[in-house]
Amino acid sequence: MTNPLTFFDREPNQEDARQWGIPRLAFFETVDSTQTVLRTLAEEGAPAWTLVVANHQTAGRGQHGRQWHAQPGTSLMFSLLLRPASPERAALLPIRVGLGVARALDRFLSGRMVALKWPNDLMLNNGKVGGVLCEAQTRSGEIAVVAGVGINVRRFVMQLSDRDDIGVSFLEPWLAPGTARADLLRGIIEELRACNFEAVALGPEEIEAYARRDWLAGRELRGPVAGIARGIDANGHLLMESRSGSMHTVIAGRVELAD
Amino acid sequence: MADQMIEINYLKQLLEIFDASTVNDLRIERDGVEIRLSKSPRHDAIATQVHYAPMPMPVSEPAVAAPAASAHAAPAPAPAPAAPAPEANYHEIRSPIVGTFYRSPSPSAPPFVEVGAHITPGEVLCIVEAMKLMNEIESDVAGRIVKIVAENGQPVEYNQLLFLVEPD
Repeated sequence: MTNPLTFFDREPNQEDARQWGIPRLAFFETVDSTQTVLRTLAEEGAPAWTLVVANHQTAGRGQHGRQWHAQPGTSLMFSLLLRPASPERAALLPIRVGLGVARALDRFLSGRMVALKWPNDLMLNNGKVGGVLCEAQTRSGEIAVVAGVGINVRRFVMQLSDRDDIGVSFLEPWLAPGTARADLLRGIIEELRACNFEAVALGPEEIEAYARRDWLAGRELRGPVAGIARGIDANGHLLMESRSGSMHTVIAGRVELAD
Repeated sequence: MADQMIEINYLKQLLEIFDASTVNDLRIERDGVEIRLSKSPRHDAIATQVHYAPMPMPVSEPAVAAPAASAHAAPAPAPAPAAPAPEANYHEIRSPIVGTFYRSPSPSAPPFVEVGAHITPGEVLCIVEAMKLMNEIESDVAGRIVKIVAENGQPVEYNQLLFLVEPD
């Protein structure tokens, strides 16, 4: 019987990679960071969709450089290599990967929907259940984006080097008994494989899909711009309405909720 | 008090006229008070640059010890013509995107580069983050970092100057 505590009932292997439609898969019982491993592979010329998975990370990284310590066996952590054809497409990957992962997780959550906190924090039951961190390198005009995903599966005591203003949540209470992390991973990879990463702007259906999951929409923020969050535009930028009614577009910066 | 009000109004008018004019630098002495106005913030940059440059610059007046209020460093003797030349010799590394500028991979990690560091093509100099996509910005030349223009953790615009490099 599989069990989320054991991560995988067996180590994923190249046969899984073939079934999931990806060229290469590297599994580590313990690794410093799947991001670091995959960045090295990318520099060595690894093909797009190369996947690095770990049961445990000793130096996981989160947003804003926060250390991300999960207890061994509690989380799903992987990094996926994407090779977008242009900087415009690279810029949209955080939104598109976040949407794909959220859509995949929904299938395991018996009717619950994973929300997205701009740009791509994964929210469940009003707590952060996971996140996506994308790192881009450009070598001789070729862009490699290493998309790192971390998802809290089993409940554990979260240690963040820097406290966030939002609580955490875990998939476990909503998962069907016997769901292994390998099942979640397969679901996510299949969903991402089906995504269209080619369009240079988000299409209306993508903006609408985001709007359905938009955790910030209608909430009041004090940063990076003070005002009310009003969804995203075709570039994936956050739209903010200031108190005076004027609209602002946010490209970067740390989202801070008003009290 | 009344005098002060007059001074403020005078200064305000002066600034408005100065802003609208094509004059870049202005120095006025009145009743023993000196007012210096300068439009180009580049003066600051150039001054610092000269400071870091290895040798051939007119380091003649480094003492400058600018009277606290003065915005630009070099005083009187017409430094203007000398200044643009050294900058032209430096290679500029600019931001390819709008985002947040980070000098290190994480807050606890040391910066990628410091002033004076020798860099090679392809070496990562900084990260510009937009929408949680951390874009590594690499050097396209070999040389030495002369100045880090952007501030860590601050927003940068498209094509904003990030580093000045003295090529090998």
